[in-house]
Amino acid sequence: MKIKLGGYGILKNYVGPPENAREIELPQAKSLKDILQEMGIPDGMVMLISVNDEQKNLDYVPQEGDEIKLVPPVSGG
Amino acid sequence: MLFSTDYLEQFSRHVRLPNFGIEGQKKIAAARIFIAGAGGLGSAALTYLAPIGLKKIGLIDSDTVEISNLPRQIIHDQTKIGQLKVTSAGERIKQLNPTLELALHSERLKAVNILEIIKEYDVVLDGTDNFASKYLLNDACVISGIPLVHAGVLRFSGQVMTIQPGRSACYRCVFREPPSPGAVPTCSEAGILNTAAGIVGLIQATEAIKLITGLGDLLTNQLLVFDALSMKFRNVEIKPDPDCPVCGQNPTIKTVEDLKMVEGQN
Repeated sequence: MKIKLGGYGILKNYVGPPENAREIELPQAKSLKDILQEMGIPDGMVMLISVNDEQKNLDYVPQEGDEIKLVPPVSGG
Repeated sequence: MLFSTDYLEQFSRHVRLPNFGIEGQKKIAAARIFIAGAGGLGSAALTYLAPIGLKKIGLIDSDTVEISNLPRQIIHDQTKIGQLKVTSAGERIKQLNPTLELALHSERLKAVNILEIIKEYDVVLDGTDNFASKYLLNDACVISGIPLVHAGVLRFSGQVMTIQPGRSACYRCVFREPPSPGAVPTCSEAGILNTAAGIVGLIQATEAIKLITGLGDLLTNQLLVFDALSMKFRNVEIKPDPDCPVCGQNPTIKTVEDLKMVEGQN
């Protein structure tokens, strides 16, 4: 199963920007929380998860062809 | 409300806008906007909101002007280093609009003062530089029913969302709890491009004008993510969370509380 994972802001460093998202091969179904953990992305660095332009949470189990975008929280002013 | 010829000349470029007109200017003339933070976001928003003929602007910031602030905090200048930011910004605002009613608060936003301070305003802009203040503003505005234009910036990017309490998703619908201290870098650690802060602050000011005049579509139920390097603006759809602890069906947060966390630096 293949999914595409892209990120905004500092998350681009982990998965590439949304327009050049990283393609990931998943041998078995698993939650986004597990996928992000394996990639070394801390939970706290992901504010918003958008799957095919719909808001999801870390418990979501990606499906074939999903395009996933990760948005980090930013506190600067 | 009757406007003099001079008044109409001053604001004629807004009055001539389609669907803005004298009615729009009347709404502006009666509106009170509160801005939390006189930093990069607040400087841009204040510079563009002070001259448009508002009734009142409120501003809170407990910091003093530092030399590293000046590239992006354009409401301050070299002569203001060491001054309270609200004093420095207040002087500039008065130059831009001497008749504007101004309330300056040189203190930190806290649970003990926030509801009392924001209650008389029509719109609140979040220009703060730390998660504790952003959550406090969200909770206070939802509880008080005051529209909030949230924003944050870091490095080359920024985010904006407009919250209409009871009608659209709030900050906690998107991100229920603040990240653990240190999980996300601050601008003083990771840097901030001055123009990125300015662009995001002006988007906030634009949302405030739209909220007051009723023009256009707001950034409600969506997070606008701006990236200066790719120069892309992307709208990520969000939705109200029925289980949100502050705006959900059974809220557990019914009054404001200070978050115990390490404060970020601007």
